[in-house]
Amino acid sequence: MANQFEIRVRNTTVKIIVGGSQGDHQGNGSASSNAPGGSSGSLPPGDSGGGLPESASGCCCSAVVIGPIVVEGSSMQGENGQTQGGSSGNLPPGDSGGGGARPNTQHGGGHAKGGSSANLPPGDSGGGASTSNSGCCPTVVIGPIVFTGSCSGQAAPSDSGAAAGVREVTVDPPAHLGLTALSSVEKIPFTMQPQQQTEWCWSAVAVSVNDFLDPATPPTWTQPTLATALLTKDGTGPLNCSETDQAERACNQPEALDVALTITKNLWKKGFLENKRLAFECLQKWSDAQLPVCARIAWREGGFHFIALGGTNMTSSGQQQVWVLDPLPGTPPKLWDYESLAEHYGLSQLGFWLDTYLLTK
Amino acid sequence: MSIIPSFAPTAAVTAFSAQLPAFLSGPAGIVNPAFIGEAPYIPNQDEVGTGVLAAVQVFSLSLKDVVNSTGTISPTPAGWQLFAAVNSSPPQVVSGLAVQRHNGAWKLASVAYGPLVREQFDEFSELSTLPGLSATEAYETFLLEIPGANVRAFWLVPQKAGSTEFIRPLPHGNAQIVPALKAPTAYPVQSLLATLIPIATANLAMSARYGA
Repeated sequence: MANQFEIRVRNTTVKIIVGGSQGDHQGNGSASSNAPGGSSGSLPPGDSGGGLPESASGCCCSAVVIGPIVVEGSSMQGENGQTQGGSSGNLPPGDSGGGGARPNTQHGGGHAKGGSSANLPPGDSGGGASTSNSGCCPTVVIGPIVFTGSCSGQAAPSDSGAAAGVREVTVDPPAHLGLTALSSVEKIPFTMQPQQQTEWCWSAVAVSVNDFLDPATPPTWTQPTLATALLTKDGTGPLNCSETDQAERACNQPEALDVALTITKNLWKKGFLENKRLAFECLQKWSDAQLPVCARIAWREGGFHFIALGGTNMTSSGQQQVWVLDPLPGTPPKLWDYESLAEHYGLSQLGFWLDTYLLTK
Repeated sequence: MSIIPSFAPTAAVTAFSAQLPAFLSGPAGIVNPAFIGEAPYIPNQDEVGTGVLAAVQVFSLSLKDVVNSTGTISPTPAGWQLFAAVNSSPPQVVSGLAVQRHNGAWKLASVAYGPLVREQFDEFSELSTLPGLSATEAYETFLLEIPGANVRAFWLVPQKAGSTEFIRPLPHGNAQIVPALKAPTAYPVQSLLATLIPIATANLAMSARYGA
């Protein structure tokens, strides 16, 4: 689904479509109905709300289509008689947030820096400027410009387009946060509690993380006590979610995991990475540091769910695998192929890894 | 009442058998893992038989499908879940999700371990004794997931056109989080939809950053 913006520039309407798939123009594209919109396009590189020392250098970003940019009206020539490329020049490479999918795109590189197609390397855009109405009031169409996720020389998975708009990042865990100093004898299993109510995946995940990172007897938090605290804090309360009737009704609400983890003091400072997932190599470092990573799964066609990632494995053949702990009752621990987890999570294959939560003890 | 056995496509079985070692302990699989906390038990290749114990086709139903339903469902096929025995004491089972990618190739996307897999396999094996089903009917069995509503169930489709379709929630009893689906019985699909439509409607309007 493309987003269209109109910007008035000196009596001229500049229409910019961000997030349209190539198929929007060629008739064969696909895009997720749940892919986040194009709001992140205005963010500076590396500053999407997290402020972490993250890097996208190892990412395999999904393809993004910007354009076509349509410049109409009498002032097309601008002050210097040059075509003005709209606002896409503010978009960081590969971070337009729009998320148009373009499977099997050959190349792109995400090198575009400015809004003008003139800044793109040869062969790296969906089209340069073309003019019509060669008189005084021509219309100019620029693009569409296609950015594909070929960072590190890796092609995007051929069927990964639906999670478009999600950026793969690397954020290393600070050494002092890890639990590697613990001996194997002292290590306790990282297990996931099944969620106790239909809407309580956030509570199950936050409590399970807290049990592992800050073990106490009795546990500091239970799912009902955390629900009580969070719902009271956000003004829904006063409630007592330990009472069955309230738990099943007023307390049974979807909530934000970053808020729950903030209450349990397990969310790393600015550890909520919106529209970002960790690169596998980065995930390995968090596993090595004995710190779980939590993820928000978006279901195509509606709904969201939280899970925790409890380890990694790289097979001798190079397959990247992630140990997934899901609070959905009856769900056994599973080892997921990383690409499948990121793009096709769940038995239904309808989920994709949308947001990331980095933890601390 | 009888359950009609399911047979996965040959390509799905082949993918499961060929790719399963990568998800087991051993040279082709778990060789240098980084687990959080204590490492979980993962059987090795010698413990897991190469044969497929059982297979069940997986279907998905979206929240929009639920909300827009008119008493019947038309889920979308998503893949196959295959079970293999683990020669351990007590005997265990592993299950794998084989899916067909857009390029036509089959891929083993995930493998599940532990006692809960055995429980699910036992539930699957005992569906023919499930109360509430028609004694004269033969049913095809599928695994149904409704992501966003946190519901998984066996979906039993009768051979006879027009007969009632049933679902068997997973898990059942006190472990089932949808209060109306806790009873150890089969539920008509219409009952499932009546229960889930309010949940699906609410969760389709979920606020940004939220999850359930």
